[in-house]
Amino acid sequence: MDYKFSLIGKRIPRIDSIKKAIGKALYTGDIKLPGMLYGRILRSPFPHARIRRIETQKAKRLLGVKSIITSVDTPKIKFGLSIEDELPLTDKKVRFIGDEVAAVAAFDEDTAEEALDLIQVEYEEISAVFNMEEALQPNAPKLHESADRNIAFRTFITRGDIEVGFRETDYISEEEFYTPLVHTAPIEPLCCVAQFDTDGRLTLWAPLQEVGRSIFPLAKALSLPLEKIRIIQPTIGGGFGGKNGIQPFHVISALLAKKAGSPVRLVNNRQEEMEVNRPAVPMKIWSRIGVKRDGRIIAKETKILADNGAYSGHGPPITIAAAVRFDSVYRQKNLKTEATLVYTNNIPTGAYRGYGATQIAFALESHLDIIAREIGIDPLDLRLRNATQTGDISVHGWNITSSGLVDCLKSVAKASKWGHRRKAKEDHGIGIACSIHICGLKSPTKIRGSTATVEIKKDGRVLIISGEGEIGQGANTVFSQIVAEELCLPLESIELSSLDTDKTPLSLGAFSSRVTVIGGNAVLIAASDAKKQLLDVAASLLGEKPGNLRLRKGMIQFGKHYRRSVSIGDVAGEAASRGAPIVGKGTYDTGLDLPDKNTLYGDIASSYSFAAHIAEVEVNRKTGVVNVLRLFCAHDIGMAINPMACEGQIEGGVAQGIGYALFEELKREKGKILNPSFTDYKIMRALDVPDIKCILVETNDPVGPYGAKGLGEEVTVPVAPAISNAIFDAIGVRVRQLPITPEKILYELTRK
Amino acid sequence: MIACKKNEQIPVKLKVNGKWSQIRVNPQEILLDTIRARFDLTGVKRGCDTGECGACTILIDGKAVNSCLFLTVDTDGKSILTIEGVSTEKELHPLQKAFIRHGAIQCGYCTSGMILSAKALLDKNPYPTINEIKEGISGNLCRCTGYVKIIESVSSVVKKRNG
Amino acid sequence: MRRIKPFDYYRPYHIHEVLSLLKEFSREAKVLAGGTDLLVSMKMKGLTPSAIINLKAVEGLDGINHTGGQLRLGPLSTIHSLSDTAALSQIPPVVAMACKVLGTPQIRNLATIGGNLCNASPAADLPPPLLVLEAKLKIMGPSSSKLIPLEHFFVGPGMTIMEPDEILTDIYIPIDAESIGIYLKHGIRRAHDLAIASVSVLLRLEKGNDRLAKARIALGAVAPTPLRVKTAEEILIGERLSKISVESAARAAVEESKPISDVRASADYRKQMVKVLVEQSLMTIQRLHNRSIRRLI
Repeated sequence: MDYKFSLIGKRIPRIDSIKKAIGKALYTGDIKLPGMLYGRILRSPFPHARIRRIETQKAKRLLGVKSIITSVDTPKIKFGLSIEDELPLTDKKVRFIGDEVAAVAAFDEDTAEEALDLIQVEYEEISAVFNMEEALQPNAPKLHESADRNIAFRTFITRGDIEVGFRETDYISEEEFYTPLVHTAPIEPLCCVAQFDTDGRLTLWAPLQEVGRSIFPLAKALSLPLEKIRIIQPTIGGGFGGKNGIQPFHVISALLAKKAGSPVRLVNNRQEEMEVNRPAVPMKIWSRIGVKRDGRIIAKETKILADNGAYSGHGPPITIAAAVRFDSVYRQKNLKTEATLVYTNNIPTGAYRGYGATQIAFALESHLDIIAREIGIDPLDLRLRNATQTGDISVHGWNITSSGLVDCLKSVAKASKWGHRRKAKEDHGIGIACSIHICGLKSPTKIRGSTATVEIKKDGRVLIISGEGEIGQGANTVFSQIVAEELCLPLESIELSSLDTDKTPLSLGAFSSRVTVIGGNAVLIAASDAKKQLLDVAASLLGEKPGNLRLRKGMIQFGKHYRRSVSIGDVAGEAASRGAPIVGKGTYDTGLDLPDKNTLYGDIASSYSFAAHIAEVEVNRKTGVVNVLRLFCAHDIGMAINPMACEGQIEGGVAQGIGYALFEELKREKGKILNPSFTDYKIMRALDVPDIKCILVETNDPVGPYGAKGLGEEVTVPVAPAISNAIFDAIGVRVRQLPITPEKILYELTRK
Repeated sequence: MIACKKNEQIPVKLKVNGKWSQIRVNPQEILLDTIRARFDLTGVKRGCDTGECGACTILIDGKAVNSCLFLTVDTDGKSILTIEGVSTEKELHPLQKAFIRHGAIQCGYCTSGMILSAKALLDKNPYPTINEIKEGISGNLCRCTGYVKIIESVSSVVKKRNG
Repeated sequence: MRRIKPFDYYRPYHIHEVLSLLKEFSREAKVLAGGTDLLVSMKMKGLTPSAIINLKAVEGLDGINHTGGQLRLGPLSTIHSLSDTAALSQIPPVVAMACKVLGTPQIRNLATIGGNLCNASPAADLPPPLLVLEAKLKIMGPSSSKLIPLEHFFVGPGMTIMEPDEILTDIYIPIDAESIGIYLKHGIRRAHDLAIASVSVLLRLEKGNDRLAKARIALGAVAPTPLRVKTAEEILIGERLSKISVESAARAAVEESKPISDVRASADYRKQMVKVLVEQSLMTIQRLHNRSIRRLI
């Protein structure tokens, strides 16, 4: 791009930073409404039990209790993202420790807790199953009537001919990997405030990543028409997948509010958050890969077993993502994948940064590393040899409009001096891994693409109305940059409407790294439209041709040498007074062709981004502790609209990835989470941060605004395999089960 | 000896962001709740309630503490600083400016506590090393940023002081 | 996780007031020092004391001073104050070392040495260094006070020999300028975790022949209580530090340790870490000793 930008591509501080820095940003827990009550949920202490009786009289009589609900107070309509298998309050039986049984709303939190203690529930324990393989057995306890052998979902994908493929290979390798239960662990736990007005209309304030889409399951579970629901997104204290959709939690707060006739705030305490709020889907991945002597991938067979816990939530699309997503990193023709999602009496699992890619990347990138070493090829060369390139149609029919994978691999190799691979010290190692991510999923839902409006007001301020939402990833800033750039305005004159389904267009929201591409494009189109309207109005007012006008710093310049000017605000004011205010509108959709439902073949997103990470580690052979020294992260982001925000995402994603690789795990025994606190569920602290070098590779994708792609989730995906591969390089130990703890390392060292 | 039966209240005089206040509290009232509910200063956040995450960090007589582990009755005669008191009427504190400029704020939930811990560090040790900065904020968890730009921000304030 | 239930609150100024309150409430009262353990226990372990006695205003429970060749620490001394630069000239380095790695900066501003000892967590950071320094505790009861070697203080996880009507009033540490002490703590992250295993070693090497005149080793987080490992010490007394003696002492320490497997680590791994930490401690002190000898020359 030879056009010189004033804001695009610049390191711009986020526009909402100031409010956050002075403590004035409004989060859900900060909302105070007159007459607001405090809710608490009564949860099952058993992993699998029938409910015989619930006695709430004593609790109801407690002074200060305003409403108590059990399943009889609900429409008993099941809801769910893809499989409708959940009720807000369990009807006949509980399926995991923490399952919602009853709820209370009271004047204060102490009373609400006391009321919980007074609710008596008679449980009849039944046998439970905690292990995926056991759950699949014919005589295993059945969680859901509709799911035979506890299979929630299953998918089979074949491409090409793997029989022929494997026959043509020179080397075949078979391996098995395991990824654990990890928590999204945002610092703000799940919370919401629900209020019904006198017309029976519900307003829900909640830190939901997907606001527009959330109306549907909420309406279904509450048996309300869609128009009776309004969702407002306050500032979100982190998501990472954990705030990705409606859970019984939200429905319960609405039901409590309805019954009490007052607004209700519901907040998970940290223990509840870790025991109940949808951690990542653990997966057992068996992989068989056949290659030629030169490293070309010829055949690939994968079997995935995924643990959904008690309810499906995002489980099915995550399983598909794990089964499909990674295959387009490399060029290949023959593959066969079988993925099975299993119900168990464990905590329901769900979306975690990477959405299935994090799990499969660990398996496949570790496996390729194993193969490279066994056939004597440099792991970097193996990847370069197979890397997807711009213009490829991948094995699943993905149209790769731009691929920066090779650039990422080369730049990260150069930055880390991979070629020299100097082992500065003993027990020092270096490892590489790649990833792919989708930017802007073509959504098979009722909500298509993204719509935005850009309104120019008579004081020269510009209001962007988009339904996409800011979860801390910087979307609002990026949108503002785009509009300010288009209209040649300073960033300070741009305002963003807060996300409110009554005011903002229905949109899918922040997931699958779609906001920059799809939301951004809609905003760009709207800004261009606003610009055209502005210039047309100005032209007619000034008696000039629109082509003879130019925009500079909030002014429209015209005449000889552009010496004369009029402010954007004045023109907008004039337009408004004539009954035609300047409101630019933009809609962007990724296209209507969705992949084939059965074969899953077809383009699924507007563009695809790639990444390559190299990790440098040092392992202490005596203690097994891994010290991550450095991470080089190259990301094909198309075009960095805000490089500082990109770096922020990469650095945060790496921190999360290191935890995933080395020390994060929700431990459980017979369905009980053993470490539901930050004391023993360890996330990265400031002292653990390694050197992180961010390399932004700009491939100028033809689809995204200014050539940009998405970034938010992919940042975590290559970290664990890069570290695992580096550990092998350092001490010749390969741990196939995350997290790679010191104990596992010492165990492998003694085995050798 | 001061004595107060349960469910009775006890007067407490405390200075919050430079202003003295007298309130009556139950012994079991936690300072985090007092600041957020009574003083309406919601910049301080609840993240874990057990002193692990630091989102509830405020300064008591200049020292960073977890307000979720502090009884309000124990603040009698003490001076409390919350994020709302860090900037003056006219300008932001250098730490706030640095956090904004260097992109150290993403979701913002940890920001109040983080800035206060950094302030407590710099007020005591004006020229910390990078490792001392990391130590100083080691009681504050951030899930968004990976701490890199937070450390950069604090470091930039130190560098500016060095001139 | 629970909300804190109401309690009677007392803020006495004198020790005798504390003692009479403790007598009145018996096991129903808890004392409040820094609050970082008490409040967490009330939220996480369902502790519901009828009364809480705030010790912070009680005369005579704070302070750092010297009396008759001993260092006396008040139990209300905060962890931060013990590792602060101002205190460093008075506090034995091994104690300051442990203070620096205890909890987080926020916790250190509130937590007290008295609380860390009386809470008696097997993984507490201050007991191992205080054990190798052979600290003594003064415990006051309704009718008398006694001086107890720290070695006899801990009786089980979270349990001390103190009766419900007694309180800790002083911590005495004999001054020993000749010995070098070290505290090493093993955790998974570099940040300050609860110890998976910890070791404190105090050695005095004789001038001239480098034989050990004094050798004290204490372990944390690997037994029901923090413990001195005298078998390991006996191996070293009178000997020089060599590969053999170091390994031998480490093995003896491992023998004496009785770790459990829990959510943080397995017993096996803890035993392995005892060996690593003891060896590392001994070698580090040897190096520090050599360096200081070289400086004198």
